[in-house]
Amino acid sequence: MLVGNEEARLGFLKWLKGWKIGGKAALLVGPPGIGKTATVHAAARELGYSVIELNASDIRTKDKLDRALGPSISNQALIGKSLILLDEVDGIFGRADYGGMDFVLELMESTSVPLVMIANAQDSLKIEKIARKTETFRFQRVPPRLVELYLRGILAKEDRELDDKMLQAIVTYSKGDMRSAINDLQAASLGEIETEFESPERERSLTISQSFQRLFDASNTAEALMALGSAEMDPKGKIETVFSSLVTGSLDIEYLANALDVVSQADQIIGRIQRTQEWRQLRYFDVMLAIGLFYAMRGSKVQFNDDAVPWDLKLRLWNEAKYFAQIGRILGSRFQTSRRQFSAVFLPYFAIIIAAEEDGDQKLEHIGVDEPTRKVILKEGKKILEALK
Amino acid sequence: MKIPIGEHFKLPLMGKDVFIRLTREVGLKYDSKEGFMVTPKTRLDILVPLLREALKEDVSFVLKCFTCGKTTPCETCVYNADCDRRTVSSACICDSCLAKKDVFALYSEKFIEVSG
Repeated sequence: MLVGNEEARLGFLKWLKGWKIGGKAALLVGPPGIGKTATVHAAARELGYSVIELNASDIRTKDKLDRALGPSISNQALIGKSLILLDEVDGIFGRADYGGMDFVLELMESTSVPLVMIANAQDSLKIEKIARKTETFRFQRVPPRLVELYLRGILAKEDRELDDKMLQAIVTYSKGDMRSAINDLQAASLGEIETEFESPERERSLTISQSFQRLFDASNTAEALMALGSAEMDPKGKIETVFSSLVTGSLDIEYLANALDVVSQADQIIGRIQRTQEWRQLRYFDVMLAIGLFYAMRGSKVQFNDDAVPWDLKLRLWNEAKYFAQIGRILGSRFQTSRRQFSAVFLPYFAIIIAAEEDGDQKLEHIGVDEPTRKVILKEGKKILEALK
Repeated sequence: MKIPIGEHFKLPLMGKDVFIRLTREVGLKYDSKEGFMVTPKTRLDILVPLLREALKEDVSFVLKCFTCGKTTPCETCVYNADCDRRTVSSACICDSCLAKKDVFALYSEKFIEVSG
């Protein structure tokens, strides 16, 4: 049994019940993890259909689709009552040159079995185009209380118990994504997540750097949560430290993007708490950040670093900051602005202009800039000009 | 004023300017027969103060309980701050149904009942 999206699920069931040869195909659109595929399987089971399922992300070309589906379409008598389920059709529609989209359009017109397509991208123009030719069922995220209802149903069925606050944290963190909620519930009920997360076991002897290093090295969610809980720091500080460690590390780009997404979500939560003054929501913060990072990094290693400046940039700052400070000091007043403002806003443009001048060096000398500083400014201006080309 | 999520609702006449703001700036869907409706594009952060000002009364959101059909207020829900009402499906579950031991079975039975 599923929860949420009742209207869409009922509509799909009605469509399948009433489907006849020559009828429209169905398109289920909505974010991942909210039960679109499960809806198709449940309805098929209910009405006695077997499902021929294909993930369109893996098979995108016309030939491959034809090879995979052809036998099923032409041997209905042998296979029996079946429906074709094309999951993640966004992949097919994304590449016109593969011909997969033409194949699907043809299939929609000629199929002798119900054709069901599933897509995640709701705003894609191509999906909208397909939607006009299909019975479209739009799925939305599941309301938190229904996620809770579902998780309580699982716990009851498995004869397990979970602390209410932990359950609420899992529900909140899932953001209506049933798949992630079920995964987290499984981890929590297996003891991988601390159930008394409001006062997780802390190792007071750990320093901040040790706490964060343990967070990054954690082999399960419980370890990650314990480590983050041990870091005696306010939430903003935790976000900044995690961020600086991530951006100065050498994480694979995909994992880095996922991890930064978690940090961004955590930052939004803090922002929302500050706006709404719902301070009790803070208790979910460590759970979200620790568990989110654990899943986002998937075993990749990150070194603790509380300095948000990448090392190569840090080296430049170390070597060249004094020169930029000098030019800011000299020119800030001439531009009727502060030294800081000049360095932060005007300097790149000034460097470009002066580097493009044939007598840029003389002009800098004329206003009292010493030779090492002139060299740095001109080099910087040329670099920017080169990059702009 | 209680605004139902996922259903049409009527508003008293509030003048052309407010109507334009509601449909263009706030992103409420409007149908001359059915009335207004919150969609994923609706700016709830603008809608609430605008209606409060125009109606001179408090404005809150309600969802319909799928199991018993009663409306359930969002403001007392523990997930109020985290639930993005524009992007969740329209039915929810009320406190009294959620408190029942066999709530999952009740919800399932209701779904089977309405699916005919």
